[in-house]
Amino acid sequence: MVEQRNLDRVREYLGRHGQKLAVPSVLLLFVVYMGISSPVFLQGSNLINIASTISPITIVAMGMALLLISGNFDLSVGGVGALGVVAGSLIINHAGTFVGILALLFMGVLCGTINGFIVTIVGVNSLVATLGTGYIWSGLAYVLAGSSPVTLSTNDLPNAITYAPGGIQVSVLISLAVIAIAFWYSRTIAGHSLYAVGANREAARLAGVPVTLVSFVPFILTGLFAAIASIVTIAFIGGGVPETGTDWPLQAIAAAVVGGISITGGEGSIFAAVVGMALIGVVQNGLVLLGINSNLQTVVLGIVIILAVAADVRFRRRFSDAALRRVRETRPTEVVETRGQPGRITHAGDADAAVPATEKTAEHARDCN
Amino acid sequence: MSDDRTACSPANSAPLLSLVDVTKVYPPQFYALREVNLTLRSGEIVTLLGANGAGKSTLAKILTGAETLTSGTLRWDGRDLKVASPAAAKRIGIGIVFQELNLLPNLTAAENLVLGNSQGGVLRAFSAAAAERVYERYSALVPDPPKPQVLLRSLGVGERQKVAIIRALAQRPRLLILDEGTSSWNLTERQQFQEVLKRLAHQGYLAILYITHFIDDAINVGDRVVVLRDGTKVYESQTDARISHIEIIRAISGELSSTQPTRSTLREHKPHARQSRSMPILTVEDLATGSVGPLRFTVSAGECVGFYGYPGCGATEALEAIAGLITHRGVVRWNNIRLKRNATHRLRHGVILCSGDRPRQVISSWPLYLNVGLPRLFKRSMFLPVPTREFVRTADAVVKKFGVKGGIWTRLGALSGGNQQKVIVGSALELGRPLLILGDDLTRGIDAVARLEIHRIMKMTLGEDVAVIVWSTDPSEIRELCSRVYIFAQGCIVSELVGEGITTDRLEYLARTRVGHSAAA
Repeated sequence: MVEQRNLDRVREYLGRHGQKLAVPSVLLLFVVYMGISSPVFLQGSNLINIASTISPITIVAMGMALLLISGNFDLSVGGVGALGVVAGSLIINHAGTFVGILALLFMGVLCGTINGFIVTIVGVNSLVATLGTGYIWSGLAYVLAGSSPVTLSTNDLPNAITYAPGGIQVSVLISLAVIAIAFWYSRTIAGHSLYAVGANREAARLAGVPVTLVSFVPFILTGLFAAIASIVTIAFIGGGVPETGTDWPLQAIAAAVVGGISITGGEGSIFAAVVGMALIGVVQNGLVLLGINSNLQTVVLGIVIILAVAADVRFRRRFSDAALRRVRETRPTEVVETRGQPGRITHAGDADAAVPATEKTAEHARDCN
Repeated sequence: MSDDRTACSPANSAPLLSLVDVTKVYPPQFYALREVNLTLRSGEIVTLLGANGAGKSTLAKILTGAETLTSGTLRWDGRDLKVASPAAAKRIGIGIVFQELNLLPNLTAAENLVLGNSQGGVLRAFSAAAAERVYERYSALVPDPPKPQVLLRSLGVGERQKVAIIRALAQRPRLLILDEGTSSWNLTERQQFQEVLKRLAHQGYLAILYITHFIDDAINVGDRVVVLRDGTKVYESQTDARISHIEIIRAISGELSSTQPTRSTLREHKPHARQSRSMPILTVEDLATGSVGPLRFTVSAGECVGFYGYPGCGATEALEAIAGLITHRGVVRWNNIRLKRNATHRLRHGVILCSGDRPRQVISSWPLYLNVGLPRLFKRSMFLPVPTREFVRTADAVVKKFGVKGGIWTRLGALSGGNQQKVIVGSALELGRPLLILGDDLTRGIDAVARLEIHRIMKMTLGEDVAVIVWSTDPSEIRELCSRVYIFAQGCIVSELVGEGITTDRLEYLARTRVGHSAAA
């Protein structure tokens, strides 16, 4: 009996969370396969190397994930990155590293605020608005840079970012910090209302959620995170080129979507975006280790993205069907109760919370019969 | 007015359109119209009244070819008539303004006129200037018409109705059908337009079928009043001095037992005139939105007040304004606090709107407990963690107290409508005290058992610091729940009924009264 109950619990857990397991499973499969075929892959230094390589995109993806959950996009992160690396390098050269970093963070918040204003207050569709602002930022980057890349005159920033206390580079620590911030934010009331706004804006409004404010904040965070990513990038390449960031927006969206964040908003999690990012990083690294032609790597990456999302969709459908079937099975209970004793109301709520209510109702039905 | 009628004497002219035993049956066995006989003459305005579902719109649709009749005949100008399609109706000279306006939102007002009216064939070159000329000519007939160049989607319902009427008139019809065509206009505009209609009709060329909810309008504009009930013609009378409001209202509602509301039982709405035993907990002063108000009224603690009126009467807007969901002028005082104009602030003080429009109110992909938590979210600072445990506890309480059939982890969309509604009301009632519940057609589309249950819950929680306002279009729900009713029509409170004075026919009667009627009384 107890075993049956435990089995029920496992089944219920899978029913509720199983749909989230598709992409982590794909990631796990890939890691196992790589671990077997390449001895270098699972070494700590290689894993940290992967984390460091993907750190700028990971940072950008965190902001993008929050935005996607609220039902918006930001295509201007690439522009912020381009302007960030060029303007940032110039300011660092003229006014020093510390001032440069502060100016960059300020610029990120400013760009995000402009996006947020155009989308949530003026009311322009976020895809269009950020497409436009993205062109402006990257255009400004080209104007500032002239025809040549900007090179850093001091090595303070590259040294700081690539410094590795205990073998873990500062760039990785920064991306972990950003992940932590995004995760914390997603768990606050403000973050939770992002889901509400993304899933049903009108319901959120009726429930007193300040919809404009709630959808504004992720734009600021995304701008700020894009600026942080550009700081890391400056350190990586020792300066700034205006071509930086052209693939940031789509890579960040890909990571979020691969992880299971709904492109229409209201679903997904920060954890999912991290998993999606890890999958992309691992695949890229793995293909290099396997010695696959670098042009072909992009093709394979595209295929992996589609496979991961397809697996996710199939999983979801399966589990939601299963959930629906269980609900249908409990329906007859209602009829029996209302017909038999119209005055009496039975309810499933007094069940212990850990036991799924649907199952409980089914038990109740058995008792009645 | 009577001179006008004797002068043109439409009764003597030959019928333009006759309906003989017209019957419409929707499968399997629903009689939308049952052997209706009706004659329309050129130069005459016939007004058609009836409750929702009485067959008014079906009749209009048959005449314009949108529906086919099951049996019976139509005679047009003395010849048998088969209206095969809306285009055919247009060709023979039947123009209509439908209740659900069929205009194209992405075109200008003038373009709508031409494209709905492409008599020259689809290939004829389109000229914006020509369209605007036609539009200008016919817009003179309508009070305060929208500009020809304005995009239709930027117009409100009332202005769209004007465009639809201009379009119908521009077809130079011989029979014009207005199916609630002016329902969103203000009184002055309606009266002006009714005078225009009378002038047009009494010149002798045009016949008009005017479908409305408002008895006053019907008597004012019509030469004859016809009432449909359950598809049958139950009343027909010339609009002379002997015509009786009460007979008409009885014909519409079908209640023979009803008595005429007298001055003593019918209280005219006088704001602040009422001496209430308890102090008001809610005071609304000069509340006004675009189409509603100004409204002044009070609600006492422990009271359940009803708003009664037809869709579009302004009650929904009033409720949304009190909840702070739409911008408004005026002052709302609740529990001695002057409320700020923002929904989050008002919710924190316990003012919550519960809508019967469930897709609008719930997140159906979320589990029950998160939906219960939704209105509780912004009771705290937004950067605190989500109080999941509190949500679970509250959801448990809601499920237990209100007998929701479903567990707290169940996806809300998997619950039946009645149970979803219980969750909506339940989570509002668990918000804390003081509490003002604004019910916007709360029991729309749910079965009788669930409905009674929700009524029971709401009555149970009425107490010292709880007040409820419900809008409903159903008199029985108002009688069941409310001790006092404000009756809405055309964005204003037209009267107030108390206690035993709340009866179905009084509600029906007063909701159909025009604003001017009671203001003049």
